[in-house]
Formats: sequence, structure tokens, C-alpha cells
Amino acid sequence: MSQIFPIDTVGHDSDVVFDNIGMTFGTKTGVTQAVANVSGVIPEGKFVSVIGPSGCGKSTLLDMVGGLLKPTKGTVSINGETVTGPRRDTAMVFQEDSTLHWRTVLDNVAFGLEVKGVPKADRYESARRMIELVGLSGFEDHRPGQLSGGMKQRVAIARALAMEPRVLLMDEPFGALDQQTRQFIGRELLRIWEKTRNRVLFITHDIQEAVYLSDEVWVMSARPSVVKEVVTIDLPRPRPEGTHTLPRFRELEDHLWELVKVEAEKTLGPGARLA
Amino acid sequence: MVSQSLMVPPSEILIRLAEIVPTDRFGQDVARTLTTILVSFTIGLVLGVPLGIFLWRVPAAGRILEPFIVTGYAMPTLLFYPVLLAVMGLNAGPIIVIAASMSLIPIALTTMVALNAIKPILHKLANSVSASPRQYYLKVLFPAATPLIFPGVKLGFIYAVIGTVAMEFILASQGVGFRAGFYYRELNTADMWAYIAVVIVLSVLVNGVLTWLEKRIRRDML
Amino acid sequence: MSTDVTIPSGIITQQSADRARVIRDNVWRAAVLVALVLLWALLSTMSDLVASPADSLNALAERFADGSIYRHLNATLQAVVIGFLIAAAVGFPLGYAIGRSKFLGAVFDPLVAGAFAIPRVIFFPILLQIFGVGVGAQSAMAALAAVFPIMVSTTAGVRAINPLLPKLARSLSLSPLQTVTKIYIPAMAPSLMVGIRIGFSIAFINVIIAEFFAARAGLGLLALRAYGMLDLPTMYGIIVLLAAIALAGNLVLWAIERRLGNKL
Ligand SMILES: Nc1ncnc2c1ncn2[C@@H]1O[C@H](COP(=O)(O)OP(=O)(O)O)[C@@H](O)[C@H]1O
Ligand SMILES: [Mg+2]
Repeated sequence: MSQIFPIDTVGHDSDVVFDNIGMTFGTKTGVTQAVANVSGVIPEGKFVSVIGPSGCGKSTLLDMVGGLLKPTKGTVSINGETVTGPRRDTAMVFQEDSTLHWRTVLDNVAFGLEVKGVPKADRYESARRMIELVGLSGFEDHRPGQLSGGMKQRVAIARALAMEPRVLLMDEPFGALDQQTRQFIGRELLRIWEKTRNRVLFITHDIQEAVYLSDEVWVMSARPSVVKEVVTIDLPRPRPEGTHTLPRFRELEDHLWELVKVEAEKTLGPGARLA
Repeated sequence: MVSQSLMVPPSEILIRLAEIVPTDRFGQDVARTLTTILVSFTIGLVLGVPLGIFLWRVPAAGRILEPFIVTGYAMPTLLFYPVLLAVMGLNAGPIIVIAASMSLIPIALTTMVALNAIKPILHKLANSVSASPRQYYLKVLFPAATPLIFPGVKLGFIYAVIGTVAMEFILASQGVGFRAGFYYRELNTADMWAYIAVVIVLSVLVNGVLTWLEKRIRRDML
Repeated sequence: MSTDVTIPSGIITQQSADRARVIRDNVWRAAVLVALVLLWALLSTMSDLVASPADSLNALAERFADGSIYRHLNATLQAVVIGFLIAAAVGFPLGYAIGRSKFLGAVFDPLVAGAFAIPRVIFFPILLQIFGVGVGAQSAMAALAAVFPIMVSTTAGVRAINPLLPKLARSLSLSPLQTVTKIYIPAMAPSLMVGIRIGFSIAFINVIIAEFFAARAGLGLLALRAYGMLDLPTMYGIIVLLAAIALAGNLVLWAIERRLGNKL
């Protein structure tokens, strides 16, 4: 059910390939080695989640794929091209509310396309499609201030999807939502993804969420981090509501929890024991 | 203690107002005061916003210059008024210099504070969609900062009004502030009150318009 | 990674880095000051209307040496301090009350905002008639000018208080006095400082304006007289003195803010 690194890092041209990447931050007071060494491949049409203790470098990893950070070691490549900056074929969704509060929902969803220079009629057309896809029809002219937290995150997802990315990068997109909203919007995301099937790199600290959504879960070690284990989620798709109760789901969840627990205890310091 | 001449019945002030308002000179005074205010404010805005952006972009400059800016804020810059009069003559020029310098500082400071208050996630978002610097300023920074900058702009406008009227009041050749001070010196208390009333009405109107604008901007953008 | 070692040493290096930065900033500030003085010196060689820095400081020193400046310095400082204290005594409690009460807010917000927008110097003639020419009128002018900014920032400060804090106070059953001194005042300290800073500045500026208009003594009057007699060095000397007073006042307020900031 799981394979231990090193894995085969030679992917196809169209894959997202991490080739021995590492990130060390230089600060005024010294250096922080956030990511030590990560190699791996996100294959075409796969949903990959990353879990790991907080501060282990998950966001850093994602930002490197998004071109917001340049790795200090190794390269990330997409389609065989090394990532040197934000690309037109990647789109990001963040944990914090990143809606532009002065724009309507429609203009928020169209924002990425607008920046790309897509003509107004075209970008509104795709924005409307995405708004429908994320279930916000009827809210086109509302402003973020009138929406709930979950709806704002859907706006952010629609904005990312409207850019028709080959790689969708999501950094704990549901982290600020309550448990119920979180589960609901997770199912929605899966429903949408079944249609688009772009590659997703999804960061979360919620093990259940990771199992439910993903094809693969990468477990990161404490900082300086490596991918400790890649767990293949061999649950059939599509995954209906009762998936959480399948014995296999429980097994995978328990296995991941064991892996994460060890790392979390390292992060919390000597003597820390988690149940 | 209160001298007789201070007590002017409101009816008399109103009568004087009714007589003064239709005159050409009143029109000229109001026109002069309003143009001085507008020119001063415009200069304050045109210089203040870029200064605020600079102080935000270069935090070290903001830190280093802060004591100078705050001291300049607290200093009666009007002390330069006599010198400016000597250089530029008894016209609107010296008043504009002082009123613009008073108007500029709150605008620059709130611009800096507003830009600093923008959520870091918006910078990240702009970056992630590869927004150009121009798109970044026009589509993200300014819209995000405007509701927060506006109170400073409002304050800048009020300072332009205060600076203009105060300088006119001390020494000028025209303007409603000048006229109030002039009639005080002439011991024409009724006309002095009439012009004080004009200044009050003008300021309250300006404040009303600015407050209305502020509400609109906040409603549309927050 | 043993965080228990890196964190303390990190804090220590952080502190020394901060100290190094403060020193660097102050060196830069001194450089800016020198540049300003040089610019001034340059202007003085170009225009007869600008006295040189050396002449100005000499003229100022002379005024201190022969004691003729003290009468004026006293008049100005007295007016600023008295005016500010009156404005504070009225402005802080009223601003607080307006911020706490919905009803008072609805009634007084527009009035205070309107009064804030009026150039208050325009009322100086009336103050002159009430108090006569002298420190009384200048103090009243300073009070009238400073009271509204103090009220506005106090009201804004009360309203910006985290709504959970009053709840916390009730849950701990604090007395009203304790609620004010232990919750409200510390929570409002930054806006109170803003009120004090703006209040002082405005009191100071308005006293000088008022002295320009009519006074028996005061630095504004002295500067205007010096200008009238074309004694430009004295005039610029007084400008330097006023800048020094403004700077000193602000340095004191910064020091207080920093101590409050460390304590809170
Ligand atoms: N810009 C930066 N400069 C210095 N250190 C950073 C920076 N960004 C992140 N770090 C550090 O790198 C480590 C990993 O951060 P992050 O990727 O945000 O963790 P995660 O998302 O897993 O919680 C943390 O210790 C963090 O303090
Ligand atoms: Mg993170």
C-alpha cells in the first residue's frame, strides 16, 4: 500500500517533477533549512495531497511549484520546463481569504483571466461557467463581504479553475472553515475535479480529508523536511458519501496517523507523546 | 469682561450677510479662497500619495524620516509665511505653499499606513497570477488601499481649508479669512461675524461632502 | 532540530540586530539633518531673504544671553501647556463618553466632525475680546484648537476596542473603575497617544498663529517683529528653536510610547 523513497523520479514530459529540491531561508539571524530534499512526480490527472507537521515546509513546497519561491537546491519542472516564476498553467488557492473585497463575485472569478489579458466577453463567459460549477450561481453580483467563509473559498477555487490550469495548487484551502463546511466543500471539490481532472497538489493537515480526496498522500517529516513516505490511496472513484466508513478508509487513515504522529512528536519537542 | 462690541444680535448678522453675499467682492473672496484650497489640496495629494508609496516601498526611509516628518507636522510652518510673502508677493502663492505642506503630510502618512495594512495574501495572489507591476498597482494595491487612504485624504482637505483660512486671516489681500480678520481690525464686528459665519458654513459643507464621499467609498469598497 | 537551543540564541541575535539597526538609523538621521543644514547654508548664499545657519544660531544665542527671549518663550510654552491641559481635561472624557454611548455618538459625531473642519483661528478675535490680548487668549485658542482632534481620536479609540474585552471585564466581574483602568485605558493607549501627539502639535501651531495675529509676548510675535525689523537671523533662529521644541516634545512622547509598548 505504500512505497518507500527513493522512488522513480523520471516522469513523463507532461508531469510535475520535483528533482532533489531543497529550500534554505537566509534570515538576518541565520539560516532556516525548511525543505531538505524532496523528489517526486505528480502524474497526469492525479490528485496528490501533502501532510506533515506544521512548519515543516508544506507551503514552501507549494510556493516553489507555483513559482513564488525559487528553490535553493534542485529544480521543479512542469512539462519538462524548469519553473522559474509564476506560470500561466498553474493556479493557486490559499488558506486565507484572498478574494478582492471591492470586486463582485463575477469580477473576482474573472480576475486571473483579466490579468492574462483575456477579452471581457470571453473571461465573463468562463467565469460564469466556473461560478456555476462551484455552485455560486445567483451570487455573481454579490461582493465577498456578503458571503460566508466557505463561499469565499469557492470564489477563490473558481478563480483558479477559470484559468484552466494544468496544475492546481491548493494550500490548506479549507483550513479556515468549520468542520461541516469543510466536508461539504471537499465533496464539491471532488465532484468538480472528476470533471476537470487537472493535476492537483493539495496541502492539508486533515488526514481524513487527504484520504478522501487523493490518489496519493505524501507524508513529510519534521523540518528540515523530506518526503518520508508516499501512501497510495487505492479507494475506488468516484467516492460517494459513505466512503469514510469503508474499512479500507480507516486502515489508510490509521496508517497515515501513525506516520504523522512520529513527526509531530519530533516537532513538539522531547518527551511529547500523542495518543 | 465681555465688551459691548462683541455682542451683535444674530438678526443684525443675518442682515449684513444678506447685504454682503450679493456683492462682487464677496464672490471674488469666495472664489479666491476656494481656488486656493483646491490648488493647495491638489498639490498635497499629488505629492503626498507618491511620498506615501515611497515610504511604504522603502521602510528604512520611513523609519529614518519619521522624526523629521512628525516634527514638520508639529511645527508652525507658517513661520515661513513672512519670507514667502517677500519672495512671492502678497498673493495666493505663499498661502498655497503653506496649506499644501499642511495637507500633504496626513495624506502621505495614511497612504503609507494603508499600504502596510494590505493583507500579504493579496501580494501573493497578484504574484501567483503573474500580474505586471502596473496591474498590481491599479487592480490590487490602490483599490485595496483606497478606503483606508480616504480618511487621510479627507484630513488633508480639511488641513488645506484650515491652512488657507488661517493664513488669509493673518495677512492677505483677499479671501473670506482675510475679510474676517480685516473687519476685526476695523472694529466692524457685525461684518466680522458675517464672515465668520461664512467660514463656518463653508467648512461644514466641505466636511459634509467629504463625509458623504467617505461613506460611499466605504460602502462600495469594503 | 533542537528548537530549545536555536530559539533563545535567535532572540539574542535578534536583539543585537535591532540595536545595530537603531544605531544605523540614527546615523542616517544625523546625515539627513546635516544635509538639511547644508541646504539651508546653500540657500542663504543664494538669497538675501535667508540668513545663514551660523548667523541664525548666533542671534538666537544672543537672545538667550541677554535674557530677552525668556519672556516670549514663557508666554508661548505657558499658552501651549495650559491650552493643551484644558483640551485634554475636556476632550478625553467627552471623547470617551461619545465613543461608549450610541446615543451621544449619534448626537455629537456630526457636531464634533463639523467643528473639527472649521479653521478655529477664525474665533480668535472673539477670544481676544473675552480674555484681552495676552496668554489667556492664546491658551483659550490652543484649547479650542486641540480639543476636537483629541475627542475624535479618543472616540475612534473607544470604538476600535475589541468587543470581547468588555465581555471579559463582565465575566471577571470587574468594577466600573477597574474596567476603565485595567481594560479600556490599556487597550486604548495607542489612540490616547495619538490624541496627545496631535493635540500638542495643534495647540502649538495655533498659539503661534494667534501670536502672529495679536499678542503681548510670544515666540510668534518675536519672529514677526524680527521680520518687521529685517532682523532675519533672529527670525530664523526662532524657527530653529520652534523646530527644536517640536522635536523635543515628540521625543518625549516617543519615549513614553515605547515604555507603554514594552509594558503592555
Ligand atoms: N520567507 C521566509 N523566510 C524565513 N523563513 C521562512 C520563510 N517562509 C517560511 N519560513 C520557515 O520555513 C519553515 C516552513 O514554513 P512553511 O512552509 O510555511 O510550513 P508549513 O506550511 O508546513 O506550516 C518554517 O519554519 C518557517 O518559519
Ligand atoms: Mg503552511
